[in-house]
Amino acid sequence: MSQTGVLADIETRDEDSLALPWNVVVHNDPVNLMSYVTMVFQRVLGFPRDKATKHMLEVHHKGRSLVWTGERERAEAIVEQLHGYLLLATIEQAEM
Amino acid sequence: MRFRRHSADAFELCDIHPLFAELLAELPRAAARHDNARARIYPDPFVSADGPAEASEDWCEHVHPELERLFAASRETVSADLGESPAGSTASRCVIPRAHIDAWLNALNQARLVIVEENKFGERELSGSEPPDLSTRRGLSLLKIHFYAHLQELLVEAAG
Repeated sequence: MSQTGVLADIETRDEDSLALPWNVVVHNDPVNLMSYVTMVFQRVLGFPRDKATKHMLEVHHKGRSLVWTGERERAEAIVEQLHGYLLLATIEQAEM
Repeated sequence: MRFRRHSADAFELCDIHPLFAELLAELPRAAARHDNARARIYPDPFVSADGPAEASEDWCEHVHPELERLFAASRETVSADLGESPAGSTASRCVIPRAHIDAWLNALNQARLVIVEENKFGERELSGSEPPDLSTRRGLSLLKIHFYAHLQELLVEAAG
């Protein structure tokens, strides 16, 4: 393979990597109240109450819940808001 | 202690037992002890991502100062509400304007997170049904967490 071919391959993989969506994941912690987490999901993510409750229960029972997927900039903005409410949230790149 | 509507735009905590009035007065100070719980209050959102280390550094540089300002503003709002209560910071009543509910929820959460980290309370201890042993500092800290959680529940309902 030529040098040019290697570079092209790397560039293609980088573009693929950048194009992958990012997941916002909320993790369980023993402090945040269930009612509070539900309220925050409604406010930050615009979830209706039943969807917010479903994700809150997923956090509570499974330890984590994927609450949003999309472009990185928006994912970071959501996580910043969730951290502002003191929820434990992380950003993960979605699997290919 | 009772929680009731004070006016169209405010709620009121009244008939507060002196012990709980003390715990209420301590809220802004307890919430400000961030050095004891920094990793939890300012978590790294990229901890589980395979992204570059610069992402975490950028987050610390740009987002943490914003969060610090938000958290400090919440504590100041709560301090002002407590200070404006008729008989001072350990008054038996406190008026909470509806517009301040978010600040109270935030300050209460800061305080609870700090106290949990300081005492290394686990989920089992926090959700236990046994009353805390008030003859120990640890028991008093647990009482404080439960009291603040009770206030949060009342305020979440009020915010609804």
